Amino acid sequence: MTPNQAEVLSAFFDGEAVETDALAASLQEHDAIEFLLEFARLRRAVHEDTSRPTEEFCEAMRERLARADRQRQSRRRLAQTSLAASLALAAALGGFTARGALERRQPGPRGGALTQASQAPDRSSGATAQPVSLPIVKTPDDGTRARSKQTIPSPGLRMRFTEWHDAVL
Amino acid sequence: MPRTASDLFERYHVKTYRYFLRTVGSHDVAQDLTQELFLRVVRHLRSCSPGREVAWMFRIARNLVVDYRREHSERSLPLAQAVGGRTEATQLVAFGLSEALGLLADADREVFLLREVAGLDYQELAEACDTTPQAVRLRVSRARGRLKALLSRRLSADENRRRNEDG
Repeated sequence: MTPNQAEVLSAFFDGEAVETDALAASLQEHDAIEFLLEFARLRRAVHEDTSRPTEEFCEAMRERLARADRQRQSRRRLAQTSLAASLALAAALGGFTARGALERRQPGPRGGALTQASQAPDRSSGATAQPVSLPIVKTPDDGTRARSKQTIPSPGLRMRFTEWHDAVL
Repeated sequence: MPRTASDLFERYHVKTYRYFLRTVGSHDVAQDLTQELFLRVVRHLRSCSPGREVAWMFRIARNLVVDYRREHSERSLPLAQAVGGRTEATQLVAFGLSEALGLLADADREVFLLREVAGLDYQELAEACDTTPQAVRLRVSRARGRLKALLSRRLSADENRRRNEDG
């Protein structure tokens, strides 16, 4: 019996998957049955061990572990409750904020009032700057304001650009 | 599959105790190690992937044995010294399984005990011992071959005695 064949028999004895060809070759060895019997005897010798920890030890451990498990479960429950409460609070705050935003937007006017802004003329045509209409939003406190700050530059900047543009042309 | 330390204790405390006893050779130390094992289990069970509790637990058990051996190296089983270096099978038939196990290489003894005492399969053994199933297969086979050489006469004699008692 080669070490490889013994290894195949050992794995087979343990119920592990083995190559069938290798197993067949190992089982054809004259001492294969003896090997398997020795493995079985060895296993029986190991399993004959009846030693156990003392009952006092087991009881003490059971109590200790049960207490620890309970503490762990109560900690987990507390964490879950805290998480649920946090989520509920976040949802409530989010809803409240969204509702406020909606209420502010709903009565808002549509664009329609006019403000003037100079549009840069086409350099190739040689045309001068023309006024352009932009939508505005009325607010209750300060009269009117632009709907979008990004689309309408401040008048000072616009004037400077127009003056610069005219000067270049 | 058990997910509390109490469940794991109910299922495995005898096996882990026997594994420790076979490994360190002392009832008191085996109980202490069993206690330490399950205290670690209860502390760290959350870090264990579901379905891998057994391999994970025996990995802790193995590490406890390694730590114990490192700290108490002067008290480790001095069997090779006890038999004066005589390790021929014929000179060892008088020894029992525990003594024969003491003559195995640590890695071979470890996988053999985890296989036979704890009942781990090769995949679980590989996880517990931080190695591959192929290496486990080799180690188990090597341990069996060595034990067979050391104990075959004794095991055969036990078999005959049992047969006579039954018959």
